[in-house]
Amino acid sequence: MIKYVARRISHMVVVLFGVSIAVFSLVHLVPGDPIRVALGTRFNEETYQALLVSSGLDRPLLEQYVTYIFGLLQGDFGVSFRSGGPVSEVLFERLPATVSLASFGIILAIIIAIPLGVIAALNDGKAADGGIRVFSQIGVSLPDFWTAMLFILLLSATLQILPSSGYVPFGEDPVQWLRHLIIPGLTVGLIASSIITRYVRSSVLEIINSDHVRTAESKGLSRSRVIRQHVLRNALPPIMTISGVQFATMLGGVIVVEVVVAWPGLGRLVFDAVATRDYPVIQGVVMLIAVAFLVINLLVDVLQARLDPRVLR
Amino acid sequence: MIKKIFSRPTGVFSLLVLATIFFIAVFGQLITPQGPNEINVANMLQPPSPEHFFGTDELGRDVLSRTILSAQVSMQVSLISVSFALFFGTAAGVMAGYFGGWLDNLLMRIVDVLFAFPVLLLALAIVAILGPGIGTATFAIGVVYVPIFARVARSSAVSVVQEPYVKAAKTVGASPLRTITTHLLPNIAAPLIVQTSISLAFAILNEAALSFLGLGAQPPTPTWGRMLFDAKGFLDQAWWMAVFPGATVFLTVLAFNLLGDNLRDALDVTVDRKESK
Repeated sequence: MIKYVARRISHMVVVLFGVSIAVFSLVHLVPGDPIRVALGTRFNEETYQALLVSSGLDRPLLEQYVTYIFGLLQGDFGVSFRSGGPVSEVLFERLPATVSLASFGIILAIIIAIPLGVIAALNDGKAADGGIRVFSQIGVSLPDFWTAMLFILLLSATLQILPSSGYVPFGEDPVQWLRHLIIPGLTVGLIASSIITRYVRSSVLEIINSDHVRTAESKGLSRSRVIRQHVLRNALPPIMTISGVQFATMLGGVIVVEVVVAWPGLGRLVFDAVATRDYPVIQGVVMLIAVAFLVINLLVDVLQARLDPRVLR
Repeated sequence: MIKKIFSRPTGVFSLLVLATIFFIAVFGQLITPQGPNEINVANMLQPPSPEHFFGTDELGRDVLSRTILSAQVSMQVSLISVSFALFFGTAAGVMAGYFGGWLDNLLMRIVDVLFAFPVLLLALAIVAILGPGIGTATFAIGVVYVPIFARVARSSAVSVVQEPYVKAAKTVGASPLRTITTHLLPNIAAPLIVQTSISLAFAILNEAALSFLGLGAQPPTPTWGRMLFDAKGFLDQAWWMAVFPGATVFLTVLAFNLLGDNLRDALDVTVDRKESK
């Protein structure tokens, strides 16, 4: 197990090194001078020189990269071209909104996907299976931002039971926080559930045809007990993997949904940063999401190995 | 293969929808009831009627005409970007699988790095560097799908390289280029065909998302994404502005996904779609 974890961590470090080069290069690949591009009509020599020095872009490339990496290790994501303030501040200010949306979405997705996937597998080839497969296919094909708009149309504009946009922090008013979370949460949760349902179905289908399940059934155990104790438990590792991947994807993939419902998360932040050409903020969001993605994948893999030692082979 | 697809309702449905979308993408200009940018303020926010089947938008433009012409941009961006990804991804994957060793290691680590970024975020970062526009959006979507094709091509190439006929070709002195083009590529085509169909679906979604964010084709060119962005401000007054263009995107994506599923069954291959969206 330790050997496996060490191997996975060393692989992650190599990928992280590549990710850091890719993200670092972002600002250097901009045609022309990135600070001039970002300042646009706000350009004046004084601001330009101040940003040039604070961003370190006046130093040799290698020195810039080394400073960037050491900065990242200390939680320093550089300086915003727009506000002149630290990028880390704005990143960590926006992170809770995105994490709450992704967490709500993934919990909802799992709650929907597990029963649907199990029902589909137990009714393999029958009408229920066909219906659930259609649901899954529809969910995968839905544009998330259009789905959010349809929910706004139904729950906000027509029924007027939920707010159409905005965000209230949990600490301020938990009820309003939840009311604002439902439309974006339903959107990302519903779409993720359609993907997870497929994995639950195929994973359960594989397990129910195995010898130990047939043995449990022939011992006279009830159907529900067999499913709970023998099928779901063994089907869990691949379901966990896909749920972890979906959660990590949501962290960086809900950009358009956040824009639709004016959700002040990382997606909205990166969208605004692209519009204002604030490259250090774009770099910060991309780097944070990539690290979160790799760490979540590592944790899921380790957990999967713990639950299913065959992975270690 | 075609016969097998036509034998299933989902196959017939996907081919019919795609044929319609391709038709309107090619002949859009000839069949639109009105000019897509014809402004008629007196006629703004009109609900669906015999004069305007999909209603009108906030400037009195015909939503049906704009939906039809948006198919052109969407198809153009997705076809070019997926062709780009198919070409470069397959080239990288085949080289990694055929030559192995350090080249395989290097190419697959690059693929791992690209996989660490969510697809839309990576596309957004590329557009941020190069500036918004139809060309940049096409390039960005193409780049984000390269690693997916590279992985599919490599995993198939690794097993085909072990086949006796490839080994025999190498033994008789066939050049790597000849071995790859004559023996390897035809035998790894099936999973690549399926992946192409699935990637086209997600390329359409991503093109719509980029256009929605104002980073794809620029006005006055109509796009589904931009139409939906405009509709966002009028949801409580004009549902048709959001419903019809969105439903067209959904149907097109669904058709490509269903075609992908049918192709997968017809060609008997396994493709992991979790990395595509």
